[in-house]
Amino acid sequence: MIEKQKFLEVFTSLFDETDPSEIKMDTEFKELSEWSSLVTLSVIVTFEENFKKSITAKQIDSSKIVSDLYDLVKE
Amino acid sequence: MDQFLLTNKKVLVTGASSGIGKEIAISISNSGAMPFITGRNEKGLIETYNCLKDPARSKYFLCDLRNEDEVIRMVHQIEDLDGVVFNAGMIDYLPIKFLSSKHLHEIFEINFHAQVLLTQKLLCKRKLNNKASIIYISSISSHMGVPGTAIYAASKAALSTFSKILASELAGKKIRSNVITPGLVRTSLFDSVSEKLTNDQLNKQEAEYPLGFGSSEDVANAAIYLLSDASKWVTGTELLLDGGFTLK
Repeated sequence: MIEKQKFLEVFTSLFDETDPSEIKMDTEFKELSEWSSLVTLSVIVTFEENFKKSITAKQIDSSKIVSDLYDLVKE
Repeated sequence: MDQFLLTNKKVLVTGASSGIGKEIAISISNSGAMPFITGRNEKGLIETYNCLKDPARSKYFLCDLRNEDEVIRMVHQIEDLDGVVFNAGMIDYLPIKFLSSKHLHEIFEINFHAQVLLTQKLLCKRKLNNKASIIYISSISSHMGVPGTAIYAASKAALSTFSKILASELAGKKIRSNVITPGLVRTSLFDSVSEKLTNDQLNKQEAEYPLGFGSSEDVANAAIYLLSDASKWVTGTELLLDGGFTLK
């Protein structure tokens, strides 16, 4: 089971311009100004590398808040 | 119209286990050619072989182009060729900041190094007849700047440039080298990486193509032309197949 804190750290590290304090488990991540298709790709690659879980762009698209993404990889 | 046929031409097609390579092999056999097909997936390769017009006149070689011994063995066994379609390759989407030596090596190894070294071995063992036609399957990505495609696009651009020099070096023997540069073609290879794209992205991409996404048959038809005597004055060039994408 992946810890929420660790997950949030990994997710937050994908953003270069966004203040980490803006990213919480209930943040609507696609509304962040830095969100783009490139960040979507980065999420897929990072989750594969850090959590050994393959998720798809469609799954990311269907997720609304950060904890929805956490649910995809937590086990 | 005979010059558009490939009657009795012996043509090697790499990456023929599925997708574009499979379609090329079948199409050229229907045009009278004798395809010699190679790939890594035995089941797929045999399926392609059984779909050829006259399998008895063709052969298949199970070969991983990254394995030098397997390539040497295949080149040794192969008959003298009138054409080669270098179609084998892989796609992957990876942002530049996530690149690693491993990724770089993996993609370039199959998309560029393997194709180049096979070319070298065919030349060295004199397996290409005079007036043979060589085709490298590139990609429209090599001319664009789509995020995530850096290494894939660079490997295809490398192949496109390599083809030009090859064309110069072999012109004396009337051996031609050309590149087919397709836009987006829906194949199982594309489907396997399209999971990194959203439905929205895919739909937007398709809307960018005035004539829609391409098919393997479109690429096969272009290969038939370049392999045939009808293109005997065409060398060192790129045939762009993009459904009008670059018009925009």
